[in-house]
Amino acid sequence: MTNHSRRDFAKSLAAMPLAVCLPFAKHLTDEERAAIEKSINDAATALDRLRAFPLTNADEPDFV
Amino acid sequence: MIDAYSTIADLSRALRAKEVSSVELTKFFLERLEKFGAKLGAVVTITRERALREAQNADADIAAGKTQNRPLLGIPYGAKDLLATKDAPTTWGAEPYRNQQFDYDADVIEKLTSGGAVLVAKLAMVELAGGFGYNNADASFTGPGRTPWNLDFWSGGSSSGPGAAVAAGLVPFAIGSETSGSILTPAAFCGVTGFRPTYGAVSRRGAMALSWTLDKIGPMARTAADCNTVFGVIVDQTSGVFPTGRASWVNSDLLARPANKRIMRIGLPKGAWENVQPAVRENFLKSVDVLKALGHTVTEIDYPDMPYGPTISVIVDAEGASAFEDILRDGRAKLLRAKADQIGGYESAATLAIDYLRAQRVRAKVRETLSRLFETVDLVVSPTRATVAFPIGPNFNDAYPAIRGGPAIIPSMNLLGAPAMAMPNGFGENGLPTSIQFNAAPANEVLLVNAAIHFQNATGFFSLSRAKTRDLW
Repeated sequence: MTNHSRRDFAKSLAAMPLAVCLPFAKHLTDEERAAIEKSINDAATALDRLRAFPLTNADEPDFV
Repeated sequence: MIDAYSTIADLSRALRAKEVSSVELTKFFLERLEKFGAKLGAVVTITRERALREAQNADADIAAGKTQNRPLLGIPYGAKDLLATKDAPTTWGAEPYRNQQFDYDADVIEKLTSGGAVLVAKLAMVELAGGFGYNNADASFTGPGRTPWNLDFWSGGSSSGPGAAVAAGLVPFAIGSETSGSILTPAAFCGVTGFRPTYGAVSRRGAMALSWTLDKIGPMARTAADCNTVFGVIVDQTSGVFPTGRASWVNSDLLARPANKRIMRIGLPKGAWENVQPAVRENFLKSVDVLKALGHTVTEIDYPDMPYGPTISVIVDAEGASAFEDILRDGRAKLLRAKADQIGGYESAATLAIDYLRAQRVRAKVRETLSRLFETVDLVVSPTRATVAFPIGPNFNDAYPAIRGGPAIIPSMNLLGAPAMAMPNGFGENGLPTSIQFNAAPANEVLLVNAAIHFQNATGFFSLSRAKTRDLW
């Protein structure tokens, strides 16, 4: 998946009703779900820098 | 007469000279905790019974001459309420865990107990160490922590109680923890010295987990020397963090001797003192002059531009949601104090696995890059925070909207797992303290502490708390 399509995927996921992506959504009011969805959308934009950082297949995660 | 603002070194000398007993000292600090702790929002539980028992034991050991290599023998202290203790609740600062009780002491508490230190209080903290995205000072079931310098302002977090309690002379030292800034920020906002050790140098057994790959435990005290003394007691000698296999700890008195002062290469990240409050800038530049006068080589450096903020946010979000999955699943997260925390965990739980792994892969690049930086400098030095403490009330983003700050030193150094020392270096707006941070390469604690001790000996800023915070009472 390219960076571009990954971003699109994240954005499309964020736009889904929260119940789809969260098993915990029953604890949230409609207003809270809307606030979370908005925040996830905002974060998708903010995370672009992380998602755009160049990595190769050889770059392993560092769990310290 | 006992001075509430004494250093550990001074109190230890007084105890050994039998000028004061540990029981007297303990009662003195218990009284201060009871009198001022709630006013500062700094205390969760006062452990009077345990404290008096431990103080009696300490006095017996002093009388029997069992004092060698026990610099904290008889010294009272407080612990951030994320460290398990067997005879008091451990609340994690959060309503859902308010009655949580463990049947054991955290490793750090065990080490301090074995060293003869006296636990007088479990200290307040931001709920769940701030892992659910709080954006306001009122984010603990004990209410907002207040800096003793001005009670209308926040003590910083998430080690809010340790910062305020040390600054106000309610304890000689405290144990805090840091995932990304939770020791350094309250140290800065409260005008005390905070020491974040290398990742892994101090055992976390019995400590609340927010982020397994970032959490660290460390001391807060009046001086770098005192922090180093506490570190020598709590460090995990078996951690494998230090190259020799044994923890690289050196006695504070030895480090403080003029002959042992090391000359270092100090890097100042360009931009670190540009978009900050005027007093932060002024005090930082004066501090740099002190470092130059001490003989250090000081140069401006280009700090690597990498996505530190989003990287650490994604890691904390994903690991935090997992760590507190129980209260997300059963809905008790809604009992948290801060509105942002009530829903923040649910948002964190939506973090994509691909983003979390990407963040840890980018982190490897961050560590590689910053490790190379430490081949050219011994210390990275910058203002600890771009501003003085935030006011209690407004959301953090609205407190000083014009101040953007410089390079993200705290997140980047936490991603590296590097040790740091935050120290007061003057005062700014509303009579609030400003602070400077020294960062060293992982496992370079000795070098870091050496520089910090000699800086403090040359400036004396740590002793300013004596006069100023007394006025509050």
